[in-house]
Amino acid sequence: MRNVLAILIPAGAFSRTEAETITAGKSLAAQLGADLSVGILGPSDDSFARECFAFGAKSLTRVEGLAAYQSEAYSAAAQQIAASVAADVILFPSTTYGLEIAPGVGYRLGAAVILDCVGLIGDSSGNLTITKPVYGGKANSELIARQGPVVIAMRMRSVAPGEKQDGATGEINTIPAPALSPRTQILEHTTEDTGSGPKLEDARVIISGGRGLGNKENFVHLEELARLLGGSVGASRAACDQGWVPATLQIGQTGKKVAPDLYLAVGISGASQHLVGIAGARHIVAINKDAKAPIFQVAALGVVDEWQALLPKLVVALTEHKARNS
Amino acid sequence: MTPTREVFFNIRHVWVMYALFAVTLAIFSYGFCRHWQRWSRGLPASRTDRPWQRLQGLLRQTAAHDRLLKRYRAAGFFHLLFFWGMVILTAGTTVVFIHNDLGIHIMQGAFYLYFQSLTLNIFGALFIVALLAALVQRYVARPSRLKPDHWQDGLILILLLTILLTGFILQGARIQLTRDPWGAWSPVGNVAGSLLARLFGVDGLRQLHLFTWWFHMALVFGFIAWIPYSKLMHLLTAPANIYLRDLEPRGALPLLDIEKTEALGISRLEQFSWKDLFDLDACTECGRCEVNCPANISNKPLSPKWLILDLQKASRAEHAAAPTPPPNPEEPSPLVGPVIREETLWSCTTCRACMEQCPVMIEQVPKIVQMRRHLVMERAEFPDDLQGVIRSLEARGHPYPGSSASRSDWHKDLDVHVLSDKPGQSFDVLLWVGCAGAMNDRSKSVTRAVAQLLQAAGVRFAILSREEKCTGDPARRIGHEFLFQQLAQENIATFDRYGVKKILTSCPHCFNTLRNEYPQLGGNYQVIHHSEFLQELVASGRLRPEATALGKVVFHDPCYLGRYNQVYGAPRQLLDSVPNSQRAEVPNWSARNALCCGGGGGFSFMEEKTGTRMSHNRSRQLVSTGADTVAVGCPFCMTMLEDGVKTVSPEGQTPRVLDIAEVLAQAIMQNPAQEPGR
Amino acid sequence: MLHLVVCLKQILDPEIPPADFKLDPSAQRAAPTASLVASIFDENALEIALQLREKVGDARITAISLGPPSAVDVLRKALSMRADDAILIREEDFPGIDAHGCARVLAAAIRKLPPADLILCGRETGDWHGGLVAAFLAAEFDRPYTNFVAGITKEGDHFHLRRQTEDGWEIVRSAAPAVITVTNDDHNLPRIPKVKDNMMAFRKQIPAWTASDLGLVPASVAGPNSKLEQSRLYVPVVDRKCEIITGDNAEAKARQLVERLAALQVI
Repeated sequence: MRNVLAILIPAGAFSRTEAETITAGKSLAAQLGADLSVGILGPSDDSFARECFAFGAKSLTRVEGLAAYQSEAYSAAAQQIAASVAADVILFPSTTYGLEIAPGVGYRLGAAVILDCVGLIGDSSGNLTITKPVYGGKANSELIARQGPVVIAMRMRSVAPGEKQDGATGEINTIPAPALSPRTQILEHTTEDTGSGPKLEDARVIISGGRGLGNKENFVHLEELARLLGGSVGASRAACDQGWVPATLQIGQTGKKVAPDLYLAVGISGASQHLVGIAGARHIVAINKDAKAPIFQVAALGVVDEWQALLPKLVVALTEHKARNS
Repeated sequence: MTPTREVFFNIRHVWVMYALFAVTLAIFSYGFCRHWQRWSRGLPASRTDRPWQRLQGLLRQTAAHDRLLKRYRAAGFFHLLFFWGMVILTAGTTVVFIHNDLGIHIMQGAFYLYFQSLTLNIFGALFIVALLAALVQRYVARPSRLKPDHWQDGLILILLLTILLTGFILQGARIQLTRDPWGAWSPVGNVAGSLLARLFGVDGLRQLHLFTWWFHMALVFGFIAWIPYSKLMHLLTAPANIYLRDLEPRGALPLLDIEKTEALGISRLEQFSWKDLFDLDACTECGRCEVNCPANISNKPLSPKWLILDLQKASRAEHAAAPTPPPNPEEPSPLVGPVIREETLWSCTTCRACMEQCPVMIEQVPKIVQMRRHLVMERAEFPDDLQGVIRSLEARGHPYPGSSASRSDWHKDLDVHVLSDKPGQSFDVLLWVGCAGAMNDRSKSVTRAVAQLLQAAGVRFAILSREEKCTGDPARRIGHEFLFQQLAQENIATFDRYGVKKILTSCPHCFNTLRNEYPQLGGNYQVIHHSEFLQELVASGRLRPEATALGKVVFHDPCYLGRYNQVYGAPRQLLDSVPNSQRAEVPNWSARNALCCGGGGGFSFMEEKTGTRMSHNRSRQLVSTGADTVAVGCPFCMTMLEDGVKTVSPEGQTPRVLDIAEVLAQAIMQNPAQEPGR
Repeated sequence: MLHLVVCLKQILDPEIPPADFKLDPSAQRAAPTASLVASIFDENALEIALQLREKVGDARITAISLGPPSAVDVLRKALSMRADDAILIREEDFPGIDAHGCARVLAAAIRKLPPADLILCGRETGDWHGGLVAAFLAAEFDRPYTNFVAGITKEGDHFHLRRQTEDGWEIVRSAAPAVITVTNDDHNLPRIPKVKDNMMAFRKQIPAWTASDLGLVPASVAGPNSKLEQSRLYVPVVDRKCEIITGDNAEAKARQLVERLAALQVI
């Protein structure tokens, strides 16, 4: 019999990240015939707890007096929660903090540790089948964990949050924060200007514009889309050449090389030098009026249309989609 | 009576002249020796072999002004008069010397009349015309290549003009005073004499003659003495430089023995060869190198002229500040940075336009690359964009960092002979695909066109596919000689393993390196560019193009095909072989004068950070011909110009950019008997 | 003097074109169809160490690789970038080694060296993307551990680590000795070695330490991850054909597009 524990490291209110982690834990627990415990590291309020129960937590452990993130304090607290619920399958979020503390927790618990997984299935005899992309995403490795404790971090956005059961409740336990003298301290935390989005190289979503946009002002449409999708704006060389956007946004053979999950190319024909820069993109989506544009040869999805007509509708459709899913 | 003239008419104390001449020679010799010492500080270079070939070239460039006349008809014509005026008048003075001082009486009879009198008069007069034209050019027309003016420039012209005018005054006065019966043989002098006689009378004329004679002599001696101290030095160094020109294949950069060389590349003047130092003093400051330089035209911090003149200045200054301390390799370079800025070196596309235009055959590109070698190999300093290129070449053997293309992608659905699959099967020619041809989507279709044409013509060809590596051209051109040699040696080993003898390629950069640079490392193959190979297939009837919707087509000459390897005709003949094609040229900017697309010397992988875009400048020229199709023969040109014509063309009138192989493939498709793949 | 230890792994070139990528079914890993290179984040780690040495002046950098004989190439690269010393640990002595084992073997080797003030690893390897060894090393040595570091300064006897987070970055003050993983950013691009250093690195002897040199019994180093069984290794099928979204008007196309994007889990 396995005991499943999902560790949450909230960065404020209950977010999709927490929903994903609980959902993954809930479905695994169901497959194993077990219940899901949730451990919350860091400050959280009652509404946070309600959300945890709504997404499927059966019990919940909070840590009294645990302040802002500090890796050693959080690790020790996670270990204590794991011990208190006798967990032998522990899920972490694949956030910076989650990835920082999960391996050490696993090490001290004598657990097998697998990070950045995209698939997790259990069976009634307690075996886990874990899928993890390897070789830069070129292959998937399927691992079977038969017995013994396991620590798993699921890749962000690899789990769709499950159905909410509003009003569900469960047991809430509180344990004291472990006493220790930490050896690291976060001195400052700086949020990068979200107006310009993440750096192109790191961006998960890039909305990119080319010559087809026609002028500098039209890039505001891309910025709007980027804000909506939490992405960044990029550009083809032609657009940079025209001075519509700074050269730092140029993507291509002599510009930035990017590897987003979604690359939305608007009015970009796909000159060879541009395609070199987006070779690492997972999904390329092209909007272009010319059906023969080479960009469609590398795109997964394409829309043959004038961007002027499409983009406003796309903004509306996306806004609605977001409203439905948040 | 035998026609001749008195040599020292009206002159006494002739010994004064000889004494002054001795002083002149001494001043000249001192200056000349200083130069000589400076040149001798350079490293050895072998530039005196094949004297006949050297002499022939020298005559072609001096006696006929071959290069100059090709692009600068008017200026070239006037300089030709200049040159011949100088030669004939110097010859005339030499005749006097032989006649009078050596006592060999040749200045008489018909020779005196036809040569010494008539010919000298004509050339003297033409010389004056040329000088006036030069003054107009420099101070009225004022082309930017001659900027900025130097006080020497005008003084030299005025000095020469004065020497010539006084010469005619002397001649005229002598004819009048001696009642020379052969005066009519010197028409200009004769007319000048009768005019002067009317103005001054006999006594006055005698005085004028006497004064002018000494004045004329002083000017001439001053001129001679000044030669080593002014840009007049080119009177000697220019022809010498042409004689000492590089006779090795144009496309081969000097090989560097990395194991044995202490300091890699050039960071100090004395690391140049003596010929490189000699080059610096051959410059006539005519600025023709600037006119065709893509970097200069696009306002980048590079002028080939100032590169040479800055080096010249440094060379002369350093020599003046003797003695120099022994070079310490750890010391910062006194040359790269302080004299020639890094941005200057990184502005060159190595297109060779400067070297092609230079009337005295100065070698700018090898100097730039050798200084880049210092930056890249000794200091590991280069533009950020090149970091990824170098890493990719090192780890993956291609210059496209981040590319996920496989070299086998383009031929997946074609039945081609991959050597590693069937090593035993014989083949006539290796198709060298090149990194762009295999990995760049646009160029892949060019490669497919070539392969399909070869199949249609029944050529037994093979490819290396994944065993190909970059030839090393970009590495060598950016100055990473070490990486170039590594890549070249790996490729040579691969060629040798499969017994490759003949190589065909559609990339002029690969073509040039394989053909001209691999022999330096022991790789000797017959290397052919696809334009020549396909043209032969058409000429021999193995490919029969039919009319296709090509429209008006203009061919853009790739630097490494044209200027470096003198292949100008084949691609044009190939285009002309398509029945209804109509071919245009960019006036004045075609073949050897073609403007670089901006993609060479590593620029295909670097962003242009200053000035305008080189590709746009060339695209504007090509678009202005009104062509429907821009034909290219190089993957870098393809990338640059596809982008460029899109930007500079009026909306809806963007010409297509096609490789000559694609043009031919379209024309062959029209012929049902030859449809590729049959 | 600071002693910085950088752990580097040799891996199959992660930039291998997808078309060339093949699996070796018998060995349960990728077939060697491309060249072997240093794992990318490992070179960033070395670069950070080099930059720290430049800042503090008095520091020594040791590069360690647990790998096959070919891994000396990675160490030579490290030497050519001007690491001071390089040590190869023979991976053949530890067949089937897991992440715990790697950490134990590396720890045993590091204990043989002068005390390390900072141990640097890449954030994950470019082949299996484990992301574990550095954290396990920290646990082995009981040292503070910080991940995704992009830059370091030394402030007194502490390190100030610039660490990337989802939404920006933070400065983490860490006691020494410490263990970190390094991620790439525009300030820690691995330098291109000078050619002279390249040639020097080729002439240098690189010691290869065996299990007995480290006093380890191979079977004893394995940890819990060795009990995981890889049941399948496969290349996920991707449809490269472009699906053109059709619709009567722009609005229909936009809705269709959003649906498809949601299915791809990218929005």
